[in-house]
Amino acid sequence: MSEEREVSRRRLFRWGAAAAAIGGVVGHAAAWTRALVPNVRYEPPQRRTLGPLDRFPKGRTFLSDEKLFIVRDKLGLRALSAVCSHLGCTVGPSKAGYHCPCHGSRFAADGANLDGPAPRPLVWYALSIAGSGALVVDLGKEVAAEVALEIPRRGA
Amino acid sequence: MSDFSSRFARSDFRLLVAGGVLLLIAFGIAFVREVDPEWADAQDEVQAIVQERLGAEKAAELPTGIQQIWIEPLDRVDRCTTCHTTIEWGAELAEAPHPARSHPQGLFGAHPVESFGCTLCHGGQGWATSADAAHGNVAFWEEPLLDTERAKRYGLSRSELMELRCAYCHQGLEPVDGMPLLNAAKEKVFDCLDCHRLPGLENDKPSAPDLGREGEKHPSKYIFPEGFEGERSVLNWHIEHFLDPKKMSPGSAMPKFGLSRKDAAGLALLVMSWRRQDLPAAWTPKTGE
Amino acid sequence: MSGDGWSPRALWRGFFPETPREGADAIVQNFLLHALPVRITRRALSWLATGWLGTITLHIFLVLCLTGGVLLFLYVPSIERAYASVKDIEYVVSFGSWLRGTHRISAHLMVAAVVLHLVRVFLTGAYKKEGAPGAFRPLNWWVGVVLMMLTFGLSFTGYLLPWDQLAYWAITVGTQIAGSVPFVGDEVRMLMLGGDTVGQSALLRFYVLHCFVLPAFMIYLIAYHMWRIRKDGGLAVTDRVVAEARETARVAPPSPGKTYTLMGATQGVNAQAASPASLLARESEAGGVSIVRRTVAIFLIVLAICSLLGLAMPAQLEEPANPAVTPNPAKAPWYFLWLQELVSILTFRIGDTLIDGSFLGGVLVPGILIGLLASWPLLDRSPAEAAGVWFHPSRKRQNRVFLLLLFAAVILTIIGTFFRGPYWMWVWPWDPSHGHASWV
Repeated sequence: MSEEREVSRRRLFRWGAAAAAIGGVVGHAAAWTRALVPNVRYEPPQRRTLGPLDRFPKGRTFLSDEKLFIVRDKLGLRALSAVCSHLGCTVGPSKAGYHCPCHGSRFAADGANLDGPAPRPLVWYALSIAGSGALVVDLGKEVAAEVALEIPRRGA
Repeated sequence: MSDFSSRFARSDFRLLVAGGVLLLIAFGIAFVREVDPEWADAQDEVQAIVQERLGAEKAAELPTGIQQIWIEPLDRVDRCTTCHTTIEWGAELAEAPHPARSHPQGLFGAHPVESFGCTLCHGGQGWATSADAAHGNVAFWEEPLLDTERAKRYGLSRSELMELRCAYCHQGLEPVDGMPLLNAAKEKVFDCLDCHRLPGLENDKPSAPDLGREGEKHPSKYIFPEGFEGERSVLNWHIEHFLDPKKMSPGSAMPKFGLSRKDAAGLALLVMSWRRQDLPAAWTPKTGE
Repeated sequence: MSGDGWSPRALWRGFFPETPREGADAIVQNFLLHALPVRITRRALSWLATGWLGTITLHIFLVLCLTGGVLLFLYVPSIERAYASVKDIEYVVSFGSWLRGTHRISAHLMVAAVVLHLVRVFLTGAYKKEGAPGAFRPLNWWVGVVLMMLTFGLSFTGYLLPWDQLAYWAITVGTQIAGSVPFVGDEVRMLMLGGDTVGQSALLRFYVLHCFVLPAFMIYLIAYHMWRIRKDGGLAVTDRVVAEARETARVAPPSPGKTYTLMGATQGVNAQAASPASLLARESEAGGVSIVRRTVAIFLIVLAICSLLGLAMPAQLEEPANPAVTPNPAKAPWYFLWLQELVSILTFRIGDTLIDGSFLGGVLVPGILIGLLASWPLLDRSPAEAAGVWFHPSRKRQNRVFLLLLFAAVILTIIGTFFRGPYWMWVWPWDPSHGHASWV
């Protein structure tokens, strides 16, 4: 009886030792791999100041840094992403909408995907006006195609 | 089986066990340190203060994790906002205790925090994420936080001491708004032209060292007299030197001017700001600005 | 599945042997184990014979590869980003400070372990050319000397990477010494730095050497080093076991008249069991399990010690490298401080002639020492019995000289580390040092 207990005690000790060794090694491996997951990013912020409103005349203005079309029409100001929903190339303007040079996807003026491999419409981002009067885009906040920023009247 | 149970089997097994246990301990220590960093306590502190003063809804808006302001053109990173999460919150936290206190909003006008960060004006170590290191009170960090306590050592207010860092960018001898101590020093400094060359001002027959880049002289190059008791800093060296040149550099031909300690401090800060500007064109302030 | 089909058992075949026969088979069948001897003598397995310093060194190197492999993804070898990326490792990378601390302390430990390994091999005469037929241990000694220099090289190149004041000036001083080699010194220095001063090209060169070139040589030579042990008939101490077995067989020969005696049976030297081979078999056991167990234990202990020390002694990062400000004093890495100390002692003036210590202390003395180390297996005249024995009487004199030189190097290293202050003047470690002033 006691011998049996001794054997099982020893077996427990062995398994415990193996568990400690494996746990220690796996813990180290996991921690040192975790070091590769970035905790901070060296990227521009999502909210970006685009400049004074008069930089954006009627029609479409392309901003290459932000990869955005700023559309100004009777609705007001809207910001359309120029990043193709297919594989991330930058789309260019075409007569009726937008055209992707990489794989030929075509989009309507409201961003809807019409033709080619693009699976989704282009994305619209929220615009606002900063205290200084400059236009600000929030690349973290998507909005519907018809949501526009009303242009404040001069002197108002 | 007997062949395998050599006399080393038992001791080697013990070694295996010891190795495994030590490894677990090492991992445990590292894990505890990682999941409970110093900055998380500071964030909790801010959370509690905001909750108490402004309610749970506001407290939920506070960011978590390490925050950083990356100023790409200057190649600087400030992580102060990891603990000081509410610096942009305005008047409701203006009187709150640190780290929850908000920054006076008016000063952000010309120097928005997202493009200037914190340490450019305040000093300290932007990279760091622990209080001592971030405030620069550690070995091998030469630009400590310019706080009230440090300013007191020189009989200055915090904003007066901070004028040093204003002057790193706002150079020149014209007065600049918001720098009263250095503006007063600039009025006096023209007398120095009798002997010295000053930045941007010619002196055909200088009889004393060129001060055009005096601010670049490294602290290790300053020699303090035997048995010097005071603060061993470049600022203090210059203050003492302005008050009594021969005390700090024996044999100097520079006369005593009978300056007040405050005047001496202003001149010392001005001289320390005379270093080359290393700023992108868009960042260089205009003269007198 | 039919019997001769592939079975997953092949993956762990030999890992859990139940008999000595299976244990021996495992070593033949399993690629990972095939470098191990099928049988090992008890004396080779003992801690006293070798201290297992080679295995310990190997595992420290493994820890360095593991931690270095992660740091490789986090560090940027450019003079604009290097210092900042190390600051990031310290402050925002999860477990980064621990990784870097472990990497640094392991590097120091490896230098120490390599030197101790060399000392052990010297003091036991394990490099001696006399051995079994086909064995030639001096070759492995030479490989070992090269491995030691590779270790110094790895440590030295890694020293520059943080791009702080310590790194910048240690490498400036270190490469300056290399530059005082006659005739080729300037070229060697130019090749190391890619310019006259330590700058971007030096950083990139040191980085590539540290992360690719030197480790590649290291891994190749370590494999060769271990393979040579087998080719040389195992550790030198095994030669002693074999010789002693022969001696026993000679002293107590089987009785010519009888094939069986009671005496012989008790001593194991009757006609059936009197050969040296059988005596050797009694002295040894199946290698696989005991060596694997020992190796795993050493790996766990080494990793644990490096890891704990890495937590307890985080690596420093001084001010960013500043070519305009020389710290006073500027010290080489600690394992080169005995050379720097020699350089300072040997620089003096006789009349109008300046004796250049950097050549004497930095090049000539280490050159002679390395030359002596390399040629010693050929110069050592002690008898074969001296191989594999600690402090063999026939090697008394050379052991004394060796230990004296080692002692001198250690003393000079301690002086250089703790007793040298500004202008390389003598200071006491307990003297208050002011350091330099602060800005404000």
